[in-house]
Amino acid sequence: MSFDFPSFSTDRLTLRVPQAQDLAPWTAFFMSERSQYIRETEPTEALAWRAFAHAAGMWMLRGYGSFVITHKDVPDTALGMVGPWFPVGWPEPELGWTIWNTSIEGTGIAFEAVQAARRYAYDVLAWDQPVSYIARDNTRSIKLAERLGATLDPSAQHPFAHKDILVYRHPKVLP
Amino acid sequence: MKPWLVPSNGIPADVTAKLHAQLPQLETARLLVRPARLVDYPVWDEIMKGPNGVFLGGPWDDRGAYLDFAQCVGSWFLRGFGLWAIENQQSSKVLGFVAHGHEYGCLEAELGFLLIETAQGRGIATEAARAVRDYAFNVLKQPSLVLYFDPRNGASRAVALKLGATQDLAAETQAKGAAIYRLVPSDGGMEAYT
Repeated sequence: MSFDFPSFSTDRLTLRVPQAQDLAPWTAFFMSERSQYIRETEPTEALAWRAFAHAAGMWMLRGYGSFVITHKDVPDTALGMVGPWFPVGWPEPELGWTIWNTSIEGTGIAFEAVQAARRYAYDVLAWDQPVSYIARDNTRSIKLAERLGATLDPSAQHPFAHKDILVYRHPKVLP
Repeated sequence: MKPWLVPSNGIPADVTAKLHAQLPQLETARLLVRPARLVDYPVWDEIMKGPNGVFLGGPWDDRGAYLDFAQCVGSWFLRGFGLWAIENQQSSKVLGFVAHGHEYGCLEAELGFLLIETAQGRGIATEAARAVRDYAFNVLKQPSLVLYFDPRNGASRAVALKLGATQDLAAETQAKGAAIYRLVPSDGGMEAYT
């Protein structure tokens, strides 16, 4: 079954909906130390599966969700995930991202992907100044948020009772 | 209503509608069995937090129940089959769900059924699960379906038997604590196992 669903391209990337083949690279990321900032317990493959199925389910339930990031000319190889999503218990919608593949570090690809997904959230979903939740120790994501023009919002609520989370808020008008 | 339960409007609502238009619907004598949507969530929540919740991996809190729902729905995306809602054709009321999925660690596709209390005892689960079973075998050509349930759940066992499932004692010994029944397509076509 193939679905007619939003996907779009930037200069270098295609952003598309999650597919079953993305489970393997997602699971490799989830089981590695790189996922320490986005989970609250020790990783297991079963948890990875459930988290990914949940992200896919959001597309069905809400008509939007996280996009898988791929190189434009290699659409089968998932590099990470970025997008507007609104999971249970979040006080407001979030623009979140995870970078699975270390090979794209330092290439500006994460910036290009998040910028595009944010543009989608503003233009298509009519979102107004969404947040991004980032662990205080996650320096790479903090740098990315700041490069995107997001600023700390110390008064915003977040859903993580047991984690040291910073709330970044995206600008009213996109640069 | 909690914000994450409010259906989208505008373009994302169109995306959802377009997606559902591409998915199958099954009609039986009394029921419409169709892919679950966000608006069905309160029924799921009621069942998972009701007296049968303990049979379904519970007790469930808000977050756990919702995540489980979203994961079951996500199977439509990842697998091409997933969580079905059971709708009364006449009233359009959602009476429960047939969970058709293939979860992590499971060797084959699984069929499960869950109903609100007032819909129990009327053959609803059997009627809906039979339609999904036939869809799985005749359209998807799945080679088998496994049914897992709590052995204390006599209603589920009765449905399993009415569907023509047979108990897999060897697997039960390994699984420690779950009743495991298996369905396979019959050479005689649909009627042979109704």
